[in-house]
Amino acid sequence: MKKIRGIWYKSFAVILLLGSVIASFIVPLSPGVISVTPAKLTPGSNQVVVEGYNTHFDKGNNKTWIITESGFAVEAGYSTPINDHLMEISVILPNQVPSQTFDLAINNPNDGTFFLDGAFYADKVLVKEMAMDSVPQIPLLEENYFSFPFKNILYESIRNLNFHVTMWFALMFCMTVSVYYSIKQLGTSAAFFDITASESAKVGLWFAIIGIVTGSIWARFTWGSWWVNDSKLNGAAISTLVYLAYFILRNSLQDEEKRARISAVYNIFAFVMLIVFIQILPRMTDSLHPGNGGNPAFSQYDLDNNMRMVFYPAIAGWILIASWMISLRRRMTLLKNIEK
Amino acid sequence: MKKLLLTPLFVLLALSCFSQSAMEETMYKSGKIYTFLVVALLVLCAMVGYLVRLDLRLTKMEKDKAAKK
Repeated sequence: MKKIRGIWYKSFAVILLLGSVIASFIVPLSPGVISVTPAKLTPGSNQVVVEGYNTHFDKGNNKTWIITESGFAVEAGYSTPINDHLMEISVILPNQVPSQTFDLAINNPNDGTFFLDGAFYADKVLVKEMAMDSVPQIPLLEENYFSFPFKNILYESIRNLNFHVTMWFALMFCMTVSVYYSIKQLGTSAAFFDITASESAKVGLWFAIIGIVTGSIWARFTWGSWWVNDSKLNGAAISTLVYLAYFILRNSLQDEEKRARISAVYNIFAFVMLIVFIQILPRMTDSLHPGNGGNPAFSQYDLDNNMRMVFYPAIAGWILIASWMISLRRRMTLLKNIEK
Repeated sequence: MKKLLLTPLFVLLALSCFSQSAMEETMYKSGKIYTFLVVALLVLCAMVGYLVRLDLRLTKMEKDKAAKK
């Protein structure tokens, strides 16, 4: 086995990736509510059918409430399961309520407590401030198994986080390595640094292409279009083109020393562009990507702790794979140069 | 290299060429699990394909070197 150089980090990469890929495939989604019919309530008794996802309504002990933002809650008269994901509830809506929009909360021992925000609209009611003393308390429970969060619109495709987003982490790693060696190259003008810089940019470009294509597929089935006019998407496309120009520039120069120097300077410029276009600008404007005005990947609101346990190893794994690819490409190019 | 570069584009093209309703029906089915499946398989195939191609090129270079000697 010692024939492979740096075996420890390569096997570590494979273990991390295998773990995260397997977890991404087998961890179930948290229970959630897909829809309620009808979504309009009138004062008095209302029969509503609730459609859940990954729920266990048929195991019994279901409790259902409608709640407003201010905390006013009404418990449903009855909650009768039809099967594991369908349930009929009866909501008795009072004439006076503090708000016209209601969320739905469901609780049972298997699934814990889960919500559908803005589930109901109350019609023909008197909107008035209400006393909160007789309001039922809703117990907040976790589901009793390890799961990924349920998000409307995303559903199961939330697992793409471990594949699409990690591509961009690996890309940032490759481009940082590339610019580091470019700076070193300017100081020493050794061919070795130039080769490392260009090879890691090549690997980074591959990650960028896969990142854009997977993002496009994900966007089509969640945002509804292959390409949306989003600052992060356009920024990613522009920085990919900036790096393509780097390779065109390299190929157009014949003299090796001149090529190394000029492309090193251009690479520093390209890296600054990359940071501006995919890290700074999307955070200053509206973006469909999570994390406007903050750090999307590490924010405590956008990411659930169970997700992190799979997401962070996946990032580390892809970064190690990227460095493996870089070292392979570098060795290959060095070998080619020696033959010349 | 060029062939490999075209693979993800072909995946996109293939997806967009299916009849709209049939494709949407499949991709939205079972909580959009197929959207995940396509993305995950594309990433894995693309990266494994890249490594295999690198390996093949290195092997060829080593063979050429041995032949010269």
